[in-house]
Amino acid sequence: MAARKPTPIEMTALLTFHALLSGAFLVAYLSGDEDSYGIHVFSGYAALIALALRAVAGLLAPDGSPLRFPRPALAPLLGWVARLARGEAQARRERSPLIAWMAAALLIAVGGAAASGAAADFIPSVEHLHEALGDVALGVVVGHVALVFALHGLKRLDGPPVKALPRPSVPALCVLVVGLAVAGAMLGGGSALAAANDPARAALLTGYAAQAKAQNPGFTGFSAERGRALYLGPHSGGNVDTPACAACHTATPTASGRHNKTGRSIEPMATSANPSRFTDPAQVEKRFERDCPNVLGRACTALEKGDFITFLNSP
Amino acid sequence: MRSSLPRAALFLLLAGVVVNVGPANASQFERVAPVTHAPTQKECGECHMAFQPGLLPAASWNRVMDGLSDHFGEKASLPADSAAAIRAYLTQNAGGGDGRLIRITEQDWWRRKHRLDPAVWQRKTVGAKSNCEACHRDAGKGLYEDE
Repeated sequence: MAARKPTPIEMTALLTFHALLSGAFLVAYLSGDEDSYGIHVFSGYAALIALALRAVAGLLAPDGSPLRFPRPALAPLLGWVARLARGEAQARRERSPLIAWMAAALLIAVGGAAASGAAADFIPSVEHLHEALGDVALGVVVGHVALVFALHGLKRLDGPPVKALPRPSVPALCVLVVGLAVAGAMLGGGSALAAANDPARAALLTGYAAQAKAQNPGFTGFSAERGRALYLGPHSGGNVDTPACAACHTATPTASGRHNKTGRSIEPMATSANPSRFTDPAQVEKRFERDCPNVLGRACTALEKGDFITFLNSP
Repeated sequence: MRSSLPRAALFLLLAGVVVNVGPANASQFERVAPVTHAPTQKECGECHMAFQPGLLPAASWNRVMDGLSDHFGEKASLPADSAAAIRAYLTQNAGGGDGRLIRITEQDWWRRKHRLDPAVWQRKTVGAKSNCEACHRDAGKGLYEDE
């Protein structure tokens, strides 16, 4: 048990850790489905890194530092429960030995979920274990929240609070805000990053770049601007009803489109709105093979394909 | 990673319960066997509802699959292997009707059932006769009860 209260710097570090870990865990838990795999992996590793840093601090901090790992022990816990049962007011007010047990359970449960996730990233058969550990971790987190409220309630049992709650220090508040912002940015940035950097899409673009270079040695790279012009048209030579990609996909690539004849809904083209776009080479080639003649009246060049994807993959 | 078991179970249940009655006597139940072939569902369902194989005779399906490069005015080509698999599924599960016609909406049984005010097809929510789901909400599952 910590011998003293944390200094403002230590408090700041602990709050940052808590904000990072809780944000990352929440994002990772909610994005566990297959269609948000990129963001799930990103937030999972963020949780693992936060835990690793915490582990380093917990092992290296000198004795008595509040950064040191809690050491749950049975005797203090039993003593505390007995004193609580006897109705000792001091037992209700002091720091409960349950907190150390809770902290240990949290570190093990969330650490297990994060570590098994990292393992499953390389060994797919670990996925089932990871999913089970993730659910266990959620249970422990919910228990942790309940315990915090319960212990706080215990302290308030003795009538009106003896002293006002200490005002949170300005740096601690700043860190809390920054921590929440980081967690939020992780949600947004992580998905954008994962969407823009999909390895399958990068490989597809590399392939088109090689073809473009072979067709024209002067090729210097794809252009989102040329891609935009191709997307928006209008072109002539194809079906009169579809003079541009935008005829069905709308002028806003992040919006859902509509097949011009059947009315069938089409998922957004922009990878920021639809991360699975341009990740399946066979599907991409099939659609180019059909829709270039439908819109342009001819096949697309590798340069046009690369420009098109580059435009729709830009933020 | 979340299991999609409930959906699969529902699908199996539907597939098991629905009897392939074919359009010839579809009037009795207003239902046809749903599409159970994943490539057919995916490839045909990208641009329009994946029509159930029972809605056309095998000869019509063969004509449709022969003419994908001009599919009702649109290029809808497929890689040879998936085209062959889809053709096999459609023709093996085909229904009855006039094999010279490739439009479902020109088959006699379809026209008998759709003697509607022509203005219906112009409605923005309908758009085309091929948009079964505009009126038959569960058409994608093969259920065409009057709605």
